[in-house]
Amino acid sequence: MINPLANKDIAIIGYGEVKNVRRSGRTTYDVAAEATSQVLEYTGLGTKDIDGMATVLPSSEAGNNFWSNYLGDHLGLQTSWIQTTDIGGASMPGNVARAAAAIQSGYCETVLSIAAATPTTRRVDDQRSYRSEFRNPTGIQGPPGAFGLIMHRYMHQYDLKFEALGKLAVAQRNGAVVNEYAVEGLRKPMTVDDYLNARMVSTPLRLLDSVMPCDGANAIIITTTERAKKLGVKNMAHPIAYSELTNFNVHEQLPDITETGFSIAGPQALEKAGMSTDDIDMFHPYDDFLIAEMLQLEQIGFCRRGEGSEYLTID
Amino acid sequence: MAEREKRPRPAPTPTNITQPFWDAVNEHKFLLQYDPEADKYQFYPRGLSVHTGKRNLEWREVTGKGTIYSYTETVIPARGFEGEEPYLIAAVDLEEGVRVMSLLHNCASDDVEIGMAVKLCWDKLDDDFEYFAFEPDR
Repeated sequence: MINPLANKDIAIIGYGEVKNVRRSGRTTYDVAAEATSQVLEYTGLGTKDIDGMATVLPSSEAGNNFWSNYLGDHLGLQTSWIQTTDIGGASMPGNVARAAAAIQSGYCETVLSIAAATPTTRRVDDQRSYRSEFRNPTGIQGPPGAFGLIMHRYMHQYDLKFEALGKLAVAQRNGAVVNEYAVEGLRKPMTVDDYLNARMVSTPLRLLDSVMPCDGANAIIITTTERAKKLGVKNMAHPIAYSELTNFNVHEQLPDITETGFSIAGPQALEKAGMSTDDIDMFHPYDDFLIAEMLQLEQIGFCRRGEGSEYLTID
Repeated sequence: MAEREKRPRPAPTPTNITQPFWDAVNEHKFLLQYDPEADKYQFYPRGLSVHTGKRNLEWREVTGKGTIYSYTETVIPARGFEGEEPYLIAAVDLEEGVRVMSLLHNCASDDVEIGMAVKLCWDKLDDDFEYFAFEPDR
């Protein structure tokens, strides 16, 4: 299996992060500028040292078909490679792989990858396709409704213990309590009972199962390991394997909705890295809904399909 | 303070692809795109067959009968459904082998279950437009 990241010739040499805030009143450009300024300071680089830029398409700027160009202009970046990635929460890790490929192909050498969004201040996304005709008019409560359908189906096929999901909610909340960048209102401890007693949104999905939109930004700088060493960078992280999958099961008209692209991309990334789940000490799943984290644990291979509840409640 | 006006239930805007589908819905018929080469249906309507990539699609009327694949009871209403909560939404596997999602009417929350037989019914959105929904097929 081809793994362009195997020899660790790509390095992430710094990061910047903006505190997450509800209804900040700020523009996407402003939070992007703050994260960019931070990562430049962290690495000691200037705007003229950056020759590539990758960003994500946020709902606060989705109406601009030259979004990356405008953002680069705002940040003072002249680039020989530029990229907008629109795979949602997977866009930043996706940008690491895309930037690595661009650097290895010689299109650029030092990439600023930036995620910035202010959806609780401004939303201009307009998702047509099936959504406007076959989703919104049905009355389904957006993503919480879709995950409600997934949870009921999962409960039909497997065993789902809400205490296990509650334990996940508590673990994440504990993270927010110690994270100064987390939304301030959520920086107080919660219990499994708080989760179980939370109001229903779309059964069996509760309020505390759910993602909450907020305004924020983060940025990283990606370059070659060789250049990082020349710059005298002491702390660097090497991405060692990447896999993605979009539109899983698109040909299937009656798909199993409890199965996702992680069942392919997860084991594939581990194989590329020459690792197994036993080698993993820290796991950062995409955490929009608690059930999604459980599905990722199962499908990447930390436990078997349908055994997520048991896995999460082992003491 | 003036009472907040209830927002209308969102109505689809037919496109050049979906116009025949919505015309049929307004006559209480449900059409699916059928690929004669693959001998398969697809939903939602698209500009080509996802099975073969060809633009060989034919519209065929379906029986409108199916079984519930999954469901959810909406407690916090979606936009345009304020005041109607709680209400049920079902993902239904039609006999023709496609899955369609919509409101489930005439069914108590305690009675809904996966595998239950349902059939199509129709909701009037306004004087000119109807939308498909499901109800138990007893």
